[in-house]
Amino acid sequence: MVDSRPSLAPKNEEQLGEMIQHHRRLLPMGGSTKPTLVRARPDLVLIDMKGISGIVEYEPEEYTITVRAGTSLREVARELATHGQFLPFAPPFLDEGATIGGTVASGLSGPGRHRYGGLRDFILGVHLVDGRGVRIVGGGKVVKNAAGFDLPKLMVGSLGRLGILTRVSFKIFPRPTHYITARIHFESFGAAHRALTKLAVQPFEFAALELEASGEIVLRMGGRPASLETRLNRIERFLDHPLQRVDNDSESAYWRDYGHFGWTSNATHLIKVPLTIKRIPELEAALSDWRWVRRYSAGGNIAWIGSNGSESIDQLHRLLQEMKLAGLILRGETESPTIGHYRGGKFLRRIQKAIDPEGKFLSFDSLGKD
Amino acid sequence: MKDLLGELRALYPADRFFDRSAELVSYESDGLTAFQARPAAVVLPESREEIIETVRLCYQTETPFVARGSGTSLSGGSMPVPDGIVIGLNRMNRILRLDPEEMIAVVESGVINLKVSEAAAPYGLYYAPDPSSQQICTIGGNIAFNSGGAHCLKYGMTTNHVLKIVAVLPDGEVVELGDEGVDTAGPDLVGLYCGSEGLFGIALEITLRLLPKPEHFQTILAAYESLAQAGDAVSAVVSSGILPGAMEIMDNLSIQAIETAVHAGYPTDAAALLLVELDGEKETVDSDFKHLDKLVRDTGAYEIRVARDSDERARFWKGRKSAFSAIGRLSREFIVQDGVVPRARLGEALSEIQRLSEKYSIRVANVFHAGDGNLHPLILFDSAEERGLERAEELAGEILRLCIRLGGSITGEHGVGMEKRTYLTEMFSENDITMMKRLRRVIDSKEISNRGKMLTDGEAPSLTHRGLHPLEAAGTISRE
Repeated sequence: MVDSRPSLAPKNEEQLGEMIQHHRRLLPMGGSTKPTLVRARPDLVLIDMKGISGIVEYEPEEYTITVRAGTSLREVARELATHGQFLPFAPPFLDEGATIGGTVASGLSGPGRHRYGGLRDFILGVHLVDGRGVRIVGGGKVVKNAAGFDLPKLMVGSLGRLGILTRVSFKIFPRPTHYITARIHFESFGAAHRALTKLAVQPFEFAALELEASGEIVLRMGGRPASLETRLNRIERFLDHPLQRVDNDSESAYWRDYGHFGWTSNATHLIKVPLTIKRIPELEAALSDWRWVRRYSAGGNIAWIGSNGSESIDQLHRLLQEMKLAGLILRGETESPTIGHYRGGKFLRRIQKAIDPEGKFLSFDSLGKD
Repeated sequence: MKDLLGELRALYPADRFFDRSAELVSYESDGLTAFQARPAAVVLPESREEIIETVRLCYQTETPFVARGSGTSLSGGSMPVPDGIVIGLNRMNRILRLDPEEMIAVVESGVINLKVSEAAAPYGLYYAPDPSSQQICTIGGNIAFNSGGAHCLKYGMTTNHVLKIVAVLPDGEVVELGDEGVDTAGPDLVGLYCGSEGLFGIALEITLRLLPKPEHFQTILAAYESLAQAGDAVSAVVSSGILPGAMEIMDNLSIQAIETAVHAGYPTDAAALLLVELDGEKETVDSDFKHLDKLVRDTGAYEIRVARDSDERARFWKGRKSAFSAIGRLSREFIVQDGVVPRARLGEALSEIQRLSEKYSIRVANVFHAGDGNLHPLILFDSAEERGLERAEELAGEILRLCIRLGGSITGEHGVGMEKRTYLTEMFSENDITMMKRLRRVIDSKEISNRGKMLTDGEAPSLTHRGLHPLEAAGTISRE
């Protein structure tokens, strides 16, 4: 995606620090794959972070990797794959050129978060430059670390407003050598939702577990080829419902497509709404009424929604406020990308004062008030 | 100060307010028995409102307070501030809600860790973080120190299982962080709060994530003629792509202590024992185990045992979990450490610890979470010997510096607390520490919440005694 907006492009942390000191208000951007989060404004200087890129350290034996924030997910995934490893949470927009820094700042995890956890469960350490232009290190490079405040976690979902990331360390896992995917069609959304609720509490290990608005569950399992069929048959017996296996050729393409959000291409807005299995029916009733496209991902813990028209965002905002759910707009015109009900605003605004005393980054003032 | 005590005496009934010496003694230290301090008073709230009011009173009178669970902290994290207030949370022990469909438990901060799994068990669920003190330690304490356990590589630590926290900040403001789902929009404030070592006020209500209990386990115990060989075996497991639930190593000194104390049936001539456990779906575990078994045999273990049933599995683990308490049999006095090194440098770290042990003429027993590089050197000393304590402390410091040098951490799971404050400044730069202090001050402008822990300007006070926590000596808890 070509971006012709004027921006500064630092090559290292020192340059970035100087830019922060010399400009009034700044917003970092990576691959611009979440356009609403890097919306141009006359008073805002966009900082192109793609120049601070590259793998700093990768030790497959340690299950850790350290990369500069402007590195593309594509490059990271490729490097990890050469050693049979991966980022299990499968962040989206990899093919579109998302960077690791933007992925952390937007806090996005894909269907893979169901198995071992999301992005926040794999981040170990960060380098960031704060609102005073000072380089700060938080966390570390080892998978176990209890020293100091957990700044790496704070940076997840920080939207470029709590300092600008320059480096990230992750825990990684061995990638399953083989996968199997199956679709289960139910007679109604309600029936599919009930089946999902039953599946989620079982000790079955799903690499992905998704619920479609059409009343279909799509599940994926990873592991040794000899056991995959046996494990899948067991699910079929447990649900007492036929599964359609997706053939091997289309299998990986199906999940790769997921990261593109192609199914929302006709929607004006793309929104992420974290929720729980129990909240799904209420949200689904409204979205189906409005005829919006939607999917419930990661065992029913994330709703991805495609809407039509800007007034519709106000509708969604009011609904989310009522349901006490938060929403993050990734694509589409809007006043603010954060809609619905956010908790912790008071605490967050204090934290922001410590990191950004002069307000060099966008504020969190428009977040839900406690 | 008089005003505060008067207000607290009015707020609490006599059986939940203590200010006389005899009553205060048992609150003077925690799992790090070396440090002791006398608080001005101890209060035992039974409601959220009492906690909030107590914190507000402390804020108004600028009186430091320490929230305390069961006092099992191994870094002095719950030690009182001299003449401050201790807010004991053991009475806040209600499980408020357990939803098996959402797989969450909502608890007060004084709920004992193991009780959560016990409550979840009838639904086939459990609470994964399992520090060895889990029969006694509280969720509030687990949150403050981001407690770990033996299953951290695969399952993470406390922070990976906390969804939502309602907390009272040191100035009395009540905040809600996070939500009931596992994913979030916006910055991960729950993640920042976990591991904040009591500096961010007191957690009142916590929503925990429950998991389906693993269906099946396979546990293997392998004996080696050297620590290096055991370390190589760990590398082999890691390279194979198998992700174990747990991987632990014990050296000969620990094995001997364990056998004397609990008779786990470990081979006492082994230079190192490796314990590896797989958990998950039966099909996956059994097929992975075939590979694991072959792999372990190929690494030259001279004796291999596979647990035949859950009783035998429990026996394999009993030894490992009793290691710290058992060490008390070898030496009344010892320092427990908690450093982390990258796994590939484990061998190097252990050789260096061996060399340091010889240099200082002090025995060091080693028990560690081989899967994540988290070492627990147990430095055995006798303060009656010439410079016995000083040599032990110097050795401990060198080991922490070694961890930093090898790119690891000064603490994997016990936290900084009192004990490692000066080393935090060696692990992080001045700018990093300044930022931590800035964050602390926007939350606690008067620095009354667990003052003197984790961040400090002064020197750490000197130690008076190092040994078993009274509960360990009684065999009630064991720690790792």
